[in-house]
Amino acid sequence: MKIARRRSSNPEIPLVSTSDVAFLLLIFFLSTAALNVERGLLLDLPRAGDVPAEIAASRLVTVEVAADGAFSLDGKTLTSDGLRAALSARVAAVPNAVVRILIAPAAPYRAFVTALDQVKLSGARELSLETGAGA
Amino acid sequence: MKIRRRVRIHPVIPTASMADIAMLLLIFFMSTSIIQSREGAAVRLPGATAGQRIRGEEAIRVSIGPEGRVAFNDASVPLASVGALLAEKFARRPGLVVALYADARTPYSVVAAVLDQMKAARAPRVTLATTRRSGS
Repeated sequence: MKIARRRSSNPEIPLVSTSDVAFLLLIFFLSTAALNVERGLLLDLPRAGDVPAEIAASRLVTVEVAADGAFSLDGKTLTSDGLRAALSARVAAVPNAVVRILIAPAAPYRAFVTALDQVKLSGARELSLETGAGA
Repeated sequence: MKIRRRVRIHPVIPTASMADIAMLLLIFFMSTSIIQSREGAAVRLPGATAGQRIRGEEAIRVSIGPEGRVAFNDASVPLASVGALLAEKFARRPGLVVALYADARTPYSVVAAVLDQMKAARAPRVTLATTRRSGS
């Protein structure tokens, strides 16, 4: 009787593509980590001992943010893009302009940040934040 | 004359350890990116063009949710205690920057209350966290 010889097979897990997969994942995590840079609008707050400064009315440029998020500059209603153009013109025209942002308490924070962004872009150096009347 | 046979050398770059190195780097980046994800970070930041980079390691994080819930360095705290917590931090390191992560939908009155507390706690600088918005 002929006894069949057992074939011994060497079981192997194919690991050739592991490095490719790992590098692919590595590149993914690297790129997402680089995108995770946080940004913000920097404000220097007044010091606790500072005496409130008196500002001449002629230097004031008033931006109002209404409760519904609408903007107005010196009483004229504007869009956010229009606000920047109008603000840049006003800030350039008024020497040492101080921008006063008057915000309604119910206004969404988004509207405030948009107004602040436009003020920063307009080149104004000094800023006054004021909460408007009404709850 | 006996001609010597040329011995051919097959140049090979050893790549056997490549997978190990890649896996090691992968685990490193995975673990660090997990650390960065914050609990209760359901804050949708407003967009801005003039935003500057925030150096996270030098900043105190104060976040405000859409309903006005306040968190101090990712731990939920009552609004009234933010000032005291900040003052405590400034007593140890006076130059710290406060990063305010407020939701775009939060009413300004809540943000104003937090800003007032920052001012009272003698915060020298505050940065209002935003997402990048391309210039219009």
